[in-house]
Amino acid sequence: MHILHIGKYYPPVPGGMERYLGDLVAAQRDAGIEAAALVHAEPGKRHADDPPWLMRCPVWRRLLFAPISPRFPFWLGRAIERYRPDLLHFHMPNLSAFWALLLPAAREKGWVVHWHADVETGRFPWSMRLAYAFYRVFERALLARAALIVVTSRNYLLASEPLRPWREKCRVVPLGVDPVRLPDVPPEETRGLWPGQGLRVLAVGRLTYYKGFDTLIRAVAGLPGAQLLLVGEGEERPYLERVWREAGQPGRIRFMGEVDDASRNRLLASCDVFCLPSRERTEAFGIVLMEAMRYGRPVVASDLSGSGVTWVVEDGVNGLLAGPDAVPAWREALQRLAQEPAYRSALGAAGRRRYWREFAIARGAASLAHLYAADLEVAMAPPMGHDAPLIVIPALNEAASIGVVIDSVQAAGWRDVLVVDDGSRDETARIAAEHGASVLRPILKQGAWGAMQTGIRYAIKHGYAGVITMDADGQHEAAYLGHLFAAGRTAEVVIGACPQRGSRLRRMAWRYFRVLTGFNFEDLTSGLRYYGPAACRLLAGEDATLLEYQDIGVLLLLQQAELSIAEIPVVMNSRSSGASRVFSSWWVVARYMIETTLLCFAKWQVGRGRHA
Amino acid sequence: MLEMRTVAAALGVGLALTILYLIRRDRIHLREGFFWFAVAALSILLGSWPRLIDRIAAVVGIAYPPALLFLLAIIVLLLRLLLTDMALARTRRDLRRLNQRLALYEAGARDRRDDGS
Repeated sequence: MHILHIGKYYPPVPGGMERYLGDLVAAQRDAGIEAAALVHAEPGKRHADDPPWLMRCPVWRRLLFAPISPRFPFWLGRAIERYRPDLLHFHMPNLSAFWALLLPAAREKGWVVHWHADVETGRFPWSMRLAYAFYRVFERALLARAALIVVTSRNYLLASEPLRPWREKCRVVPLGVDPVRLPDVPPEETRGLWPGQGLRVLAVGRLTYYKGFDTLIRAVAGLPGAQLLLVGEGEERPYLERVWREAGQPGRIRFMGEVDDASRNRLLASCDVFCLPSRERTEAFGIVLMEAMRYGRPVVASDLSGSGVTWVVEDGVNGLLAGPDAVPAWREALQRLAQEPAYRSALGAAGRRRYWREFAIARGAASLAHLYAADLEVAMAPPMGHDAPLIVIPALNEAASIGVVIDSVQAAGWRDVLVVDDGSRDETARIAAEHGASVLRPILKQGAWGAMQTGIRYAIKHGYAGVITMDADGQHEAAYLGHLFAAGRTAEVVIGACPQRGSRLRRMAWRYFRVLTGFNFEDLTSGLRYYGPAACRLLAGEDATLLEYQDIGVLLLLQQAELSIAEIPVVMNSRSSGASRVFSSWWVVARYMIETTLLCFAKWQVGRGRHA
Repeated sequence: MLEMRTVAAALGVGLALTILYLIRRDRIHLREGFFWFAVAALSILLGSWPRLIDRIAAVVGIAYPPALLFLLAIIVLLLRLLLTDMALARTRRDLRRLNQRLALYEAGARDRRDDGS
């Protein structure tokens, strides 16, 4: 499976969304998924040691907090060409993601939108609100086009206005943090970090309005002995320093500025309480809360309605919640934790357990892989335990032979057999299930090819590397499946050909179609075939849905996609039961000949003459 | 005896009203509804001003004006038929994919139930 992530920035650029993207890509690559990322480069910074799967597109300038990059569509096109992703995974909000709406190469792919946050316009000046009205148009188009929208928590989803029309296709996958970035910290490394003796309170984040650090400062100031370290930089620093001075408690607070990851981990591991006093839903999840929980620290966070924070922090379980901006409530919560060290460690231990259970990044990556498979029908890769192909047997009223066929296939060593019952009126489905095959029973009858396509879609969904199709009437010998699969190592499609079978009439028909199509295969209608992963993806698609038979239409489609087709000779039994769907009556034969002839002409490729 | 013009206009108006009624009752999709409405509008126009067809026939060089009328009608019908067939193909494809998808979901639900028990 190949995935192209489209994000705003990528670590080492700081920020919660960036950290998550970096961790997610690493986790997916660990799991064998070919994940790549296309992001913006931070202006003025060089990233010389980037791996080849990370592309940073230059930014022209920043406008209203958003990086503007006119070259982004070209980079996107190039990234799609280079990585050939099965799906595009957009991390929103991100203005540049909208270029994908205009790019045909991007529109062909499946889209996943990862909704990190709504764009909050409440405090914006009118110019930004106007800009957002335009943004909304594209945002809606992107959401409409997405096969799947990933939200970080249920609370946030229920409160999100832009997502309201799309709730049906929203799935919740909590954010996560890579434990590798958060190693254990030995106690001796934390000596001297804290200035005093009292309760050690830590807060991390950009010093900006919505983080609500002034509330925390006022709460700590009224708490005898408590000390506060504030990690982060931002435009509100002078204001916060003034708040502190007015509270009149010098010496017990330190503005640490930006710190590196190691120092940050040391602080997280050595604090008594971690605080997130944000006052708006802009704080969508609070990745930093999970980091504190990793180190077994109790957390105090704002009781923000409609934010994931209240889901991450369970009041009284792994931390405490206090009203946003409510200084007395914050002081009370901190007071309680200062007085009860045992309660602190109980909350911290619960948080640590929850981190390992739900927030380690591998969990999130695994949930995403399941969603990719279920909702976009993109195979989970590498197909572990599935290097054998799925044997697909379409069946219509084959009760007499289906049991024997399944038994012989399993006796030849193929465990996974799928029977697609195309509306049989006899016991076909029951017998197949009894003989150990998986059975699909589509409600509507759809013909031989439709049944086969159903089987191929099933195989993709369940992560099989390939599919071998065979008939249910016993004319194909299970002994040849191995030959077919072996030939599949060098060709994407293998046909088991038995040109001797059939009447003179049928051989004449084949010759006619060979001339018409330019194919030089002996057996154009054989139902005994191997399809490799690329062929399966192609044949599971919409373009192949309206075909009626598995033969020429399918071969033309495969050939136009330039997939290699090989043929190996096999011997087939005369039909042990039932009759061929194609050569059953003169009327059906005539219709088949006319329809297929028309198909050949319709798919004639201009400029290449014949289909050669 | 009724005037031919009145009959034609009445037919056109009747058609237009029928179409409006059908759209109102959600019996036809708005997109097709627009097509038929255009047809109705045209028939009102030609019904209330029959000389128009004679003029157009003269311009395009058709000696017998009613032949132009029939030609136009046939073209419109053919066009509609083609569009209908295209819609039919689209619907058939969607139906098939839905059918397949449902079979996959059913199998998935069955597996989960079996695992659970």
